[in-house]
Amino acid sequence: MMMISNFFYYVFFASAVFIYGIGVNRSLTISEHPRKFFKGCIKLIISVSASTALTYLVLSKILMRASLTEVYPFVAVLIFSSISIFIESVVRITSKNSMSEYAVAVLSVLLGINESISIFESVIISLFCILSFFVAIIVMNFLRKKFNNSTRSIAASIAIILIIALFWNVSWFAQGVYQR
Amino acid sequence: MKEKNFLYEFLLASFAMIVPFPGRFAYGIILVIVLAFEMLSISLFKQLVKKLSLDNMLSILTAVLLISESIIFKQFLIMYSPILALTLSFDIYFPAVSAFIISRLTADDSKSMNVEFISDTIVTETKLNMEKTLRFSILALFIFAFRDIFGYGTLTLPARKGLASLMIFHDTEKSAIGALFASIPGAILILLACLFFIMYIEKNLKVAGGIANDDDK
Repeated sequence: MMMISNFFYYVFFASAVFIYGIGVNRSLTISEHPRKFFKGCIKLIISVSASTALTYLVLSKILMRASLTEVYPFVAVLIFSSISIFIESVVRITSKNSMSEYAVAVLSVLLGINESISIFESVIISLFCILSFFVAIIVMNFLRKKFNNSTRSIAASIAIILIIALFWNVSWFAQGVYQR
Repeated sequence: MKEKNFLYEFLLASFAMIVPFPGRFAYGIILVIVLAFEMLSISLFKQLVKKLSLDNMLSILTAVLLISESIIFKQFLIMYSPILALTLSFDIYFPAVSAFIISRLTADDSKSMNVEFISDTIVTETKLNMEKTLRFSILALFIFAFRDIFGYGTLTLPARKGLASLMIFHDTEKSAIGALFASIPGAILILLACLFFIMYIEKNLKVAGGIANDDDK
């Protein structure tokens, strides 16, 4: 049940791409040639899940006991860099812009650890963030075909999709939104 | 063409930084300070790495440097105002990641340009980076001010106990259309409008420059 609710939350309702802003710029660029990107997505999934799990373990067993929990992003970046280089040397998938996916991967790891209460949940949340990134790429690829690669139209339609998706936000209808 | 791609990527990176932050001017000020500090440290750190002949490790060292600076900055923010630090608990790491992407772009950009016109000194590269950061900062502050004034009716500044608000609109019977700008879709709409306006102006300046050059000939 938790997995299903987390899935819908991070992929659709509070999309990691559109609401948190993780990878919104990369998804616009990648949507031009998505097939090239999807070849390297296995490496992204493996490195994100492994980094999240290891960072959570280091955080819970070492950093918390030393009262140094604020340092967890530093540990996450170190672990992610090591795993990313290791996997690339083992799996031998080369993509031209491998460091550009650094932003999405690291922010997914940080978000997963920030919003979880167990190691399982942190890995699940990170993976759902990556999944929402893939969904955003597919949506933007579709929009590109519709609007013939006009970036302005795509970005404007993203804004419209978000307005529709957030229609349940009751603060928009509240009178007296300004403070007294 | 390379220059146009750089502008495009830079603007998209700005997209990634402005959208997650809450729509108050105070957070815009914090974003600008963090970004300026990080871009300055990237320029200086690059020169240090070149001097130490560690060029092949530049990417990873820059990434680690930026994330460490975010952590240290967050601690200073906690000391100054715990409420602001709590609101920005996750968003404070976005500029670190975006600054890294931008630094990669400047590296590719300078490699493609003619060596004669690029000086390898600290001062020149720092000036170039800070100029781009200044342009982005002006855009960011304008967007945050717009969202604050028309979304919340206030202009906020960072204070020890949270936000210090200056009331702009006192009448609370106005319509709630401003609430659109306070939300994320509104931020995207304002950002788009600003980006298109800037690109339109830059295009016309280039055209005007081209015509002026032709007239001189």
